[in-house]
This record gives sequence, C-alpha cells and structure tokens, in this order.
Amino acid sequence: MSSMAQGAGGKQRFRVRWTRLGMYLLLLLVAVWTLAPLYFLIITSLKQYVGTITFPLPWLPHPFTWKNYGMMFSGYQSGSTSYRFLHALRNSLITSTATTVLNLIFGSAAAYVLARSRIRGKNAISMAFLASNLLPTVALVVPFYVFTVTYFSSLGLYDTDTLLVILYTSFSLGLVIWIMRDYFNTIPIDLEEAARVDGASRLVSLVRILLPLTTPGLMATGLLTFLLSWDNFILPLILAPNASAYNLPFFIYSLSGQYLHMNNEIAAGGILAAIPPVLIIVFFGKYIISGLTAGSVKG
Amino acid sequence: MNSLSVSEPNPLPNSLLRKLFHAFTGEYFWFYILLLPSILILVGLVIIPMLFTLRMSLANTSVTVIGGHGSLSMPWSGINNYIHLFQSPDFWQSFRETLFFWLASILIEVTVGVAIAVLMNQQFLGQRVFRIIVFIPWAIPTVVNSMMWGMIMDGNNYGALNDLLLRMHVIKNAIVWLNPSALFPHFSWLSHVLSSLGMNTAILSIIVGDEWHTLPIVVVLVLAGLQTIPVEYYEAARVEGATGWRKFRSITLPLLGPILSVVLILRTMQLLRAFTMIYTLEQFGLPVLSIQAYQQAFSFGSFGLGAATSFIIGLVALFISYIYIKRLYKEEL
Repeated sequence: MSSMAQGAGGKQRFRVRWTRLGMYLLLLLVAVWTLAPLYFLIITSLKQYVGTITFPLPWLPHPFTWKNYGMMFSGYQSGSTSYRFLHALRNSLITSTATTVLNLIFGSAAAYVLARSRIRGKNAISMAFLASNLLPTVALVVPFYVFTVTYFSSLGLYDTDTLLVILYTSFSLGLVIWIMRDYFNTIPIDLEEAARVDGASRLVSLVRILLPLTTPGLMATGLLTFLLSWDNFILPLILAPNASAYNLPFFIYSLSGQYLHMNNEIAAGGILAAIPPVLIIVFFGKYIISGLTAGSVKG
Repeated sequence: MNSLSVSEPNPLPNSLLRKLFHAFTGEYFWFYILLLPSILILVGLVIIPMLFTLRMSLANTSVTVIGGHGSLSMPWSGINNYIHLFQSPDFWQSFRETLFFWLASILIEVTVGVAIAVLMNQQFLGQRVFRIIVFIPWAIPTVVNSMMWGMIMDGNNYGALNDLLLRMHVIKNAIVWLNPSALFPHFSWLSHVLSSLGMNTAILSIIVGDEWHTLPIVVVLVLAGLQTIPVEYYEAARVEGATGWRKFRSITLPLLGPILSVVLILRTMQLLRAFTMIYTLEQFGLPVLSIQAYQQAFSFGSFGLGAATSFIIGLVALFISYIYIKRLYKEEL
C-alpha cells in the first residue's frame, strides 16, 4: 500500500519536472521573441553603414562604431542632423511635460468634482469624457487642420509647440479624468469630512488630504500622459511638419526619408528616443499597470 | 430668537444679491470652476470638431492656403460624399483591410496574449525581471517600432528576417515582406488563405510588427486580472481532482471575462487608430480607413471626402465606446 503511494508520488514528481522544463522552454521563447528585435536594433545602431547592407548580415556590431550616437550630439550647427535631433528632443520634452502638467491640473480637478459633488448631469459628463478618450485621433485631425489654417490662422498656431500641447491635452484628458475619478472614489468621504470639521476648507482638504492619498493615481496618469504625448506622430505630421516644432518620432521618420536611407543612424536615433519611455516602464511600470486596471476593471 | 436676528445687520439687503453672493461662496460655485477647463476642452476640441467634420462631409469642401492664411469653401452637397464612398471599390477594400487587421490582431491577442499571461502567472525563477522585460516593447515609441520592423522585414537579402531564413535554408530567395501587392511565394497555404480573403503579404507582416509592440499591454493587463483570482478556487478544484485545462476553462476564463472584454474594446479602439505603422512603412500602399481619410484630405485636397471617412471612423468608435461604457458603468446608467 505504502509502496504504491510512493510509486505514484514518484511518477507525479517526474511529470511535474517535465512540465516545468516545458514551461521554461516556453518562457525562453517569449524572451527571444521580445528581445531579438531589440538586440537587432542595438547592434544596428553600433554598426558602420556597410555593416547594415551586406549579406550575410553581421550578427555582432561589425564594423563597430559609436559615430551614429556621436553625430546626434555633435553640436547645434543649423541644418545638421545633430541640430535637428537636439531640436526634436527639446520639442518632445517641452510638449510632453507641458501636456502632463496641464492634464494633471485640469483632469484631477474635474475628476474630483465628478467623484464628490452631486451636481446635475455628473454621470453624463463622465461618460462624455470617457467616450472622448476613446475617439481616434484620426477622426479629428481634418477639422483641427482646417480650424488652424482658416478660422484661427491669425493666431499663428500652425507649426508650433503650443498647438501640439493644446491638442495632446484634449486627447489624454479623458484618460486622466477617468482614472483619477476612480481613485477619488476609493477614498472614504469621512476622511475629508473629518478634516473639514477641523476647520479646513474644501480646497485645503483637497490639497492636504486627498492629493497625497491619490499620489499613485497621479503618478500613473501623469506617466501615461507623458508616454502618449511622447509617442504622438500623426498630429505633428499634419499640424507641425516643419523644422520649428517637430518632435522625436517625426525626426526619426524624417531620417528614413533622406535620399540615403541609413539604418544605423535611424537605429541610433530610435534608441535615444526610446530611452525615456523604457526607463519609465522599468522603474514605474507598476504604477501604470495599477492605474490602467483601476480605470478599466473597476473593482 | 426673533429679536436677535432682527438686531443683526443684514449684509445683503435684497434677495437677488444674496443669491448671487451665495452662488459665489457656496461650494457648487467652486465645483463648476474646477470642472470648467475640462468642459471647455471637451466642447472646443472634441464636440465642435466632430460636428464640424459632419458639416464638412456634407459639402464639396476645399481649403486654399496662401501665406499661412487659408480660406475655406463649403458648398453644400448633401450626402454626395457618402454615396461616392459607398460606391467606390477602394472604400470597401479599405474597409475589408481594416476589418482583417482588427480580427487577426484580436485573435492573436486573446489566444497568444492570454497564453503568455497564464504562463507568466506560474512560479518561476527570475519572475520579476521577466515581467519587466516582457513589458518593454510597449514602451518603444510607435515610430521606432515601425522603423525597426522595416529593417527586420527589409526585402533585400540583408534584411534581418531574410538573412536568418536564407542562412537556415528555409527560403531560397529574399521575400519582400512589406509588399502590399504580393503574396508569400514560399508558403503556399498562407498565400492561399490571404488571397481568398483579398489580403496580401504586407498586412500580415504589419500585424506581426504591431503585435510585438502591443501584445505586452494585453499580457500585463490580463496578468493583473489573473492575480485577482483567489488561490482558494484553484485549491478547491485541485481537491476535487480537476486537471489543468479544466481549471483554466472553469475558473480562469470566466473570471477573466471582465478584463478580457475591457482589453478587447480598448485594443479595438487602438486598431482603429492604426495609422503610424502603416503610414511610415507603406505610405499609401495599404490604405486602411485612417490612411484613406488622410490621403483624401491631405494628398488629394478633397476635404469633404476625408471628413466623410473620418466621420465614419468616429461613428464606429463612438458605437464601440457606447458598448464599452454600458458594460463598465452598468450600475450608474
């Protein structure tokens, strides 16, 4: 009796070991699928041009060079690749940061009202924001273009950072409101009322009590807004296509449109543009996931 | 009591002023002030542009820009633009391509995406690092992803994928992966399936590149959903003698339902946006609806048609968001 049980246990252990081996093999497959394209991009960025157009393709950075990165930081002479890169980097940083700040201020204020007040039409307004967030950019670029160059042409917004910030803000505001409203809803109203009994005004209680408690939500929405703005391509393509306002994605795309399409340069520019968002994901990915699930799963 | 209130000096003698005073000091006033900027953005940058798109789509719209200042002419033309679209084979080809793109991507996401998430929900060595690595492709900017896949799927024999397959002797000649007017010469069954659907090599290649970029967010969201399922359920099933597949079918899948539907709808919305990758790799070679709207308005200058296509995309998006919102906020509606 006992030997039979042992035998079955041994068989089971044997099976478990094979299952685990299979699991690690599948995980390896996932890792290769994820990392192989990145590896290819990195070695391409460290090659001289000739190493990107020979067959068989070198699978190591050969012939090796740092030049592709160096040329992005070689100074601010007008018209050079370096000038355009640094200018695009500056534009991307300014527009993404400004959009994030505006979204957090407007979005969390509105989310607070939609979570706490009993004003009429509150739910309808929340739905409208949510729907606006789900509307594709492409459905609105045609009127944006027409407004910018006709009715509002005297404002001179075409080809400016300001225009991009305004439009980015409108595209991610719904997301911020939607996620922040859920965060405000999870905080018990008693906490706020206790503060108000102690004589704090509603504004003070918002700043002193609620904002610290919703920091994870603010982090998540702020980072998401930043990532979305950093990634935007279609709005600069249509509304800021000239050198004065274009952003990093547009710069990288413009490298591929040159008469000589140099993969090594494109790869280096691409990696530089990917560094900030990748760092955000590596260090703050947890916040972003919790923000997205808080907004989408609703408990 | 009465005499007390009479003796107090009344700060606001007439009732209208008093109402005004209360409107400014009451908390409702501050609620509206806090809400106002967002409402202005919603009305000015979403609702009005959407209505204006409808207006442009009902006219023979043209825009002439001279020295930075444009003039707009919108002679009324009724539903002519829509009739033109619905009668043109190009529109229906775009429609089919958009639909194929959507269906194929969704199919990959709910099968491969859920499978990877279930795999990653097991206990294994290096779990934390693995989770971060798998999430990284999502952080790569879309344009960078496009350029990268453009290099990998380059049609020359030094394109990374061709290089790999040629070295392994899987293929004899380089394949032009991104050619929108070709079918895979080496995989006849795949070509057969694609051609019978009216599709081509390029759309499948683009789907693969796009999935590398977006599958991570599906995996991560589904994984978050898996972690909310109580372990006790699986314990109970184990005691009852349930197998792995049975546990997956009877516990995991039903409890993943809500998050899966959210993922599905969110991804559907993003696929309607699928513009960047197709535009950067194919220009106008693979005209899904968003590319067509862009081309009609900005290449051909036919803003009426472009607006009509945009408006159709917007309507589909609103319809999907309606389903989504209804599902999400059942209790509030």
